Amino acid sequence: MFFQQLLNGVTLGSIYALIALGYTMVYGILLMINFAHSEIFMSGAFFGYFFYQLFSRISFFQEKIFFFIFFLFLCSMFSTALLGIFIEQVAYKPLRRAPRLAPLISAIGVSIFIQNFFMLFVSNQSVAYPQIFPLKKYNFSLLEINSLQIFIIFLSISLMLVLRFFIQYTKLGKATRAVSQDRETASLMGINVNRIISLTFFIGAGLGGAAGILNGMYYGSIKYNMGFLPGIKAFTAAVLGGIGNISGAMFGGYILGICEAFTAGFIPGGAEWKDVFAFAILILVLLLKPSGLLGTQLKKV
Amino acid sequence: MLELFNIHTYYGEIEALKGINLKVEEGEIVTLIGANGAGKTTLLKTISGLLTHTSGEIRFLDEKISGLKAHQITKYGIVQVPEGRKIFPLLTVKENLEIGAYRKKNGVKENLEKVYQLFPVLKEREKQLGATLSGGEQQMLAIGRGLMAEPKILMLDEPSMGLAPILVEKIFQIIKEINQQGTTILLVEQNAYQALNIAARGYVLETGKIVLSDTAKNLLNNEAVKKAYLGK
Repeated sequence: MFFQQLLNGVTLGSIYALIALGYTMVYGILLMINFAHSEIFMSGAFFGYFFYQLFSRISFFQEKIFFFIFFLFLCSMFSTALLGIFIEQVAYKPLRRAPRLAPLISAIGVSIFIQNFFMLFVSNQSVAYPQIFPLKKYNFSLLEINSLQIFIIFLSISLMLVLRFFIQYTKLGKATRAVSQDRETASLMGINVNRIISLTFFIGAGLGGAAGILNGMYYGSIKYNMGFLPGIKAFTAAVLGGIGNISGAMFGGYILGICEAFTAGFIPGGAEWKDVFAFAILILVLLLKPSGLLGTQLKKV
Repeated sequence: MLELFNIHTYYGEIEALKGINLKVEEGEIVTLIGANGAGKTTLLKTISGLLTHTSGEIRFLDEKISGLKAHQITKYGIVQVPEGRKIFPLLTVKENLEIGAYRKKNGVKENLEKVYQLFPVLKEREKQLGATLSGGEQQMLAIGRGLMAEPKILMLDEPSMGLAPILVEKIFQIIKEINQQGTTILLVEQNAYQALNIAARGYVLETGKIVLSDTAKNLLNNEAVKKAYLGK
């Protein structure tokens, strides 16, 4: 039971962590909470759905499950990433010098717009999510794990490892860190700050899109308003880990997922209270360590 | 090499630069001295593209660079080492230096070696975070980071600020050395005495206007300069 709930928590946490990265990366660069990120996540789920419909009709992909999944994720993540850049260009960039409340309102506007778009053009009801690959169950003495859980955990961790590598070792990754620490000085180094900001939205939205598909696969259905709760939980995860901190967002995502699973599994009637517990943890952490678990209060030099 | 014609720059409503004319010849050290708030930093930021001037023209190697953004101006080989060093605190010393060469495609390793030769202490601290360095080391890192871009002209904003006298001496020594290796230097300083000692020429800036320009030697002997900036 313990291991079974831990597995559920890690699966859920993987999805939260992927979404949380988008919040934390954008915050790290613009000091702004991208409240439209939950809708980016939702859009990713829908893009995945569209590409599934499209690819199912292409004969090349018949019987080639690996390519099918690979291109499904690649195209959906790319589309979501482009949406992320588009939102930044249209809704945030013109407001970069405006008071901080303005982009926040703009973000809420974008959220409403995207939700309504999918509601009007796709459906105002839940849409059944296709099962992309056959669900196999594996029984071990301590827990039962299915192929979908393995896939979610494996893909999320791989994406996060790639991101870590990118941020830590590549030239663009270093430039991203430099911009998040001191935008003006970064531009003196010859870094095109606007391009780095776009890149951040691109990556954050792409990861959010992947999370959207995984979420759709896990729960079996998607809906135009599905972004809200996971979005706010992932935001919680980002704050929990220390907003602006990439490792913190991953860590926070897993902590939150595991806590939720344990509350649902071990506390009688806990399933209905799991969200309450999740936010209670957030409030506790913020009271005890306002900068988040991995947050630093290092002053800029 | 670098020429400014009648530059006006505003900070919101305030006119911070009121018609600056200035010239830096290739291979020179030119210093810009003046009190706090005279507009020295504004002038450097205007050249480097962090601020935009409302009128006038800036030319570099006979090419107009007015109106370009900061990241575009670095392409010309104009590099500013900002006031207060502005080290990236959460990047390591080596990463800070590598970022300095962001625009360079090759030769980064060689430049890194050159900077380490100039500042051996940076090599020792290679893996430390920028934030952990002392003030003097941070200034060396800031200058080293600027050199990584192989600047044609290096603009230094108050490199001696907040440093112990012995370090000030050393920093000026190094600036001279960098110049002798072929880099033109535009030096903004409050420490007018030291600056004029290594410079060929100097400009005196007061409330957004250049009130005096002469060879460094003459400025050192100028009564008004002595009184206002050299404390004599």
